[in-house]
Amino acid sequence: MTGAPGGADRSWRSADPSDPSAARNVPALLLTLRKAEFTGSIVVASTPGGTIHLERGLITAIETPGAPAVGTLLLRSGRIAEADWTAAVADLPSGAHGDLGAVLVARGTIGAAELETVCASALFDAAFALVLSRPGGWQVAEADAPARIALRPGIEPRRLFEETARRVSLLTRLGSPPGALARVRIRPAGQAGAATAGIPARYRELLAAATGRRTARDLGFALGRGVFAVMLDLVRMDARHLLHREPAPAAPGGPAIGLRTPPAGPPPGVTGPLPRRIPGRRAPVGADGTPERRAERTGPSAQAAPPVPTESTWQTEKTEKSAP
Amino acid sequence: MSSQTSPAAVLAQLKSLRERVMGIAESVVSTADGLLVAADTAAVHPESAAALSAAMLGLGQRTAAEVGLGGLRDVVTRCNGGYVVVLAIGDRALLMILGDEGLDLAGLYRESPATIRRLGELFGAVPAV
Repeated sequence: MTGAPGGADRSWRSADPSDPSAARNVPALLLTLRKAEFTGSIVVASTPGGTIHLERGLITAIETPGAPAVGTLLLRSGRIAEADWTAAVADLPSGAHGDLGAVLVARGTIGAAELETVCASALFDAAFALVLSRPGGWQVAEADAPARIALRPGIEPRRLFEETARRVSLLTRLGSPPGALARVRIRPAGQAGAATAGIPARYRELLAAATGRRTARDLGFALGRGVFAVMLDLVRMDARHLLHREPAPAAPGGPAIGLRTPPAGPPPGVTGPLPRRIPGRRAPVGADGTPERRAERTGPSAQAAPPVPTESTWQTEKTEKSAP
Repeated sequence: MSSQTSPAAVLAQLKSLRERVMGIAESVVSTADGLLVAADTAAVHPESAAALSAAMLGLGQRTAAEVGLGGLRDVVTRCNGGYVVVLAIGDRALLMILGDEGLDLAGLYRESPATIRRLGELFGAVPAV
């Protein structure tokens, strides 16, 4: 991080996890922690929630029951044999900082570039799944062990928000808002069996796994594929009348999420640091710690200032925070 | 026990639990001696799962007593492809849950007591609370 010592000091204070007004939701928290170059994790206690791992403020891994982890993707797809995986785990150096990814690469089980691709894909998929979770609280833990397989140096929070918003808006534009699609259990349509000749192998695999008991997430786990990729395929297969949707039972405790309809088109490009509120100040403060120039801006450009992309996609509300 | 209990009501509880906890794939309810009561399954053989779940729970209880670590809470088996969790319903029945690798264990521990209680009521074996 650059800037005068004073600025750095200020950003630290705003990033102090014990400061109750530091962030209103998880994305705001991620931006704050990015500025502070925080290393540790955020445990999101929504349903199902998950753990976001950060290194120097960059997101290196997200673990959630809502999306397959790197290990699941590699093992279920058959890319890595169980025996190789078990051998790599046995080779892990003791201690909290065992890097399973490095061991897998060192053993020649998988190439570094391929592992990085799988890590990034699992990371984006998990962020997408977290957005579909019901809102809940979170905890910031500095002393948490890093993820066993992580993407290094990690992904900028803003990049993650943009991609997640793009995924939600793409599915919504295709007529299947992911919040509703996530609850649907899928079965092949009656005529799907007869028409297998012209169906890509990927669709055939999905049809075979769709038992009427599985959601898109369950299919992703069963096949070792990302939940978003499965959802996209399901939407396309639905358009070809290959699927039958089991009526979704009413979600216990109300709708799983309150997704707002994202704006049509690609998410707005973010050119500069987003304005942030800092307690005790009237005007939003720029990421560099100076009073935000938006306060001085007038005219169309000020009107067109991009909304914080996080608000339209990440609905997690703050209920509790602590820094053990 | 099973003769007095409506299998549909038991099955409804199993399906409800599957809806509430992410990652549950299948579940089986059996008597403490391993006879099948009801199954919400797709791939596993219900009778075999029922028999094994009774053996697992019995082994867990015996082990807990032998090593003096107090009463058994549940038996969790972690596999490369997922989890097997066995929970006691009172002292006459048990519930086996099969989940994938992403099973929301925290969610399971949050939601299962209510299901266990309702299943216990269905069996007329309400555990003293």
